[in-house]
Amino acid sequence: MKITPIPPGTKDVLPAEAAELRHLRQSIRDVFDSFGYGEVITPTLETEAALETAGEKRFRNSFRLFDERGEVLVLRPEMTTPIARVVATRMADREPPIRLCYFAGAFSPISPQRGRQSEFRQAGLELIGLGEPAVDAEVLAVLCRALDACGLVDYSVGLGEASFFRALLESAGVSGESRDEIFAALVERDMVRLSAAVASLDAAADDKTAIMDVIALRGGSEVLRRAQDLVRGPRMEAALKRLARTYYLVSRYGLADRILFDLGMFRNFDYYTGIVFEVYSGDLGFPIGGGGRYDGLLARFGRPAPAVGFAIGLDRLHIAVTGQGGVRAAVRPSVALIGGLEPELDLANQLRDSGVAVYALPAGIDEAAALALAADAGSMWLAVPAGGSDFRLIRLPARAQAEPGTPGGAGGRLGPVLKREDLVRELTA
Amino acid sequence: MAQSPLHFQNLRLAVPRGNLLAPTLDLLERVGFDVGEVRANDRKLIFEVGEGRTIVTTRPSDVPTYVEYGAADAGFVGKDVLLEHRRNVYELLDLGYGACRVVYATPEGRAPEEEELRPLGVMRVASRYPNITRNYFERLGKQVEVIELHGSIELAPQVDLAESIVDLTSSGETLRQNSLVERAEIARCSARLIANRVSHKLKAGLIDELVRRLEELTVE
Repeated sequence: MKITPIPPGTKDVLPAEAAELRHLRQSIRDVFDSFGYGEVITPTLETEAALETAGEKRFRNSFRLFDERGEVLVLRPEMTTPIARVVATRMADREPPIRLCYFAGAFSPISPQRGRQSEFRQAGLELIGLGEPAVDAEVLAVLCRALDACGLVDYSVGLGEASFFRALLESAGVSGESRDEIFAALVERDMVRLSAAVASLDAAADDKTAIMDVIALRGGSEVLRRAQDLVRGPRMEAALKRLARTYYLVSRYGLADRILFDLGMFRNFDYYTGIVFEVYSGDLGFPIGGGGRYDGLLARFGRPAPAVGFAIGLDRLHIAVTGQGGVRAAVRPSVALIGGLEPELDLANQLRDSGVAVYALPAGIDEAAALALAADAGSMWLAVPAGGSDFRLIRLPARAQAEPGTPGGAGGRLGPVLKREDLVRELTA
Repeated sequence: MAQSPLHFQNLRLAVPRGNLLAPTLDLLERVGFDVGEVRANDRKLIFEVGEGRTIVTTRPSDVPTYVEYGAADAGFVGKDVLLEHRRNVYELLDLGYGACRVVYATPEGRAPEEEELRPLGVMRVASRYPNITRNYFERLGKQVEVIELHGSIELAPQVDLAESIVDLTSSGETLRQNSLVERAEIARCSARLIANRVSHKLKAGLIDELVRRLEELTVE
């Protein structure tokens, strides 16, 4: 066998996995639809200039190539920037709110051992043009409902507010290099470096304590009360009020239990301006997805507008759902039909017209081989011609459908013998 | 004053074998972990220490990997390992013990990067920390060839494998024995408590309590 490798951090998705991913995508799409988010499909390649407009340093680490004129193109590292571009150009005169969603692959080169893919599949949405807490609450509700619809049971949404901490630094008079140092330590999640940076600040002792306290502040709704004690000035007051209001509205969607407050959550400072959130699930060591409010991005594309959105990593979601009972795809009746190519072509078509999936097998194939092929194809039944207009119908064990190549002991099992005309009725019952 | 026992349900800690093992276990014992079996059995790798708490012992440089992937909620590891591997984990606490320094050292006498290397242009540096070494010289604007070794780094300059080394030192004795002179300190290191990104949120109460108790002990 000749092995032809694929690029590091990518993978081939075979039918069994693809079917589950498709089901996850569809479950999410149904929820997005129910809130009226319209899907957009943008080019996989963006111009380097478009990404530079976003002003994101992290995009420097992206796959690049040249077009025939020598222009630099970039494999999109995420979907929010392309959507900001679309909204500012193609939808420039559309009245807000603009609700858009996407199901797309994004790309980011990685060092191999990081447990990340360099091509990753995302489902996400953006709500552009409105800035109030009710909008943040809707987006959080769509997120939770989408995860619920996928069958994810055990998960929490960590929820923070980027402007709360920014306002605290401002009121404590922290700026310039010491502010950069604090942000750098937070990006690295290095609390040792952070406490050293805070200790060396030229600020009041209780301001320093407050900075450390905010970063450690996470938990249930009691966090809102504890944060109240740390408020210094109207901007912090306003940020906390917004967060409390968002939480109240999320609870009206019946989702308060999912929220885990985390005022020390920092996702990309220069970008997020309001709420920030991440999805955590029991045994998975990485967040499944996340997002937040980014009111500054659209202005860079010439159409100032508040915006909020999230992305779910479909591959990570798939891992988490698999660990919590698996993907529960709707079952469509399916049969592998020996002789379905010919001579039973008419029967195959009749079954398909009645909504039964037919996997046509050549006539005269050995029954054991047919069982293995039917299992590989994920068929529920195998129909074997039994002379005249009779067919023997063999039920494949459920497990064998998921494990390619193992007939699961079904070999030689005798099923009921049915007439051709009864076969359709039996399979569509 | 005796510490009351901690209740760390469902917490898995990664503890490094090697130099840091004994002081780490001492510390865990003082915050209420029953580490007797971990001390006694150096072949077993995973220990149930009651109330759903687990300790896994690993190679020191693997601790951040276990924690990054969530195979352990938290772990104990030297800062040198964190600097070298740059894993995406929370670094929560400087535990103080295991103090050492990463230094740049060359054979006694004149520093080699000056005259001798002019015709060749590039100096060879032997190290078990290729990333730390590369970053350090990059910051200085010097071009070096990093030769990665896994032990006895001091040997390299003596057999002309490299002109210099970047390695850990605590007392400086090994450097002296091998006629090497410290030319620059690159980093100060000690043991750190690290935590997984998700565990830090979902098990916030347990992690914070562990941090608080360890902090009390290390401040003493």
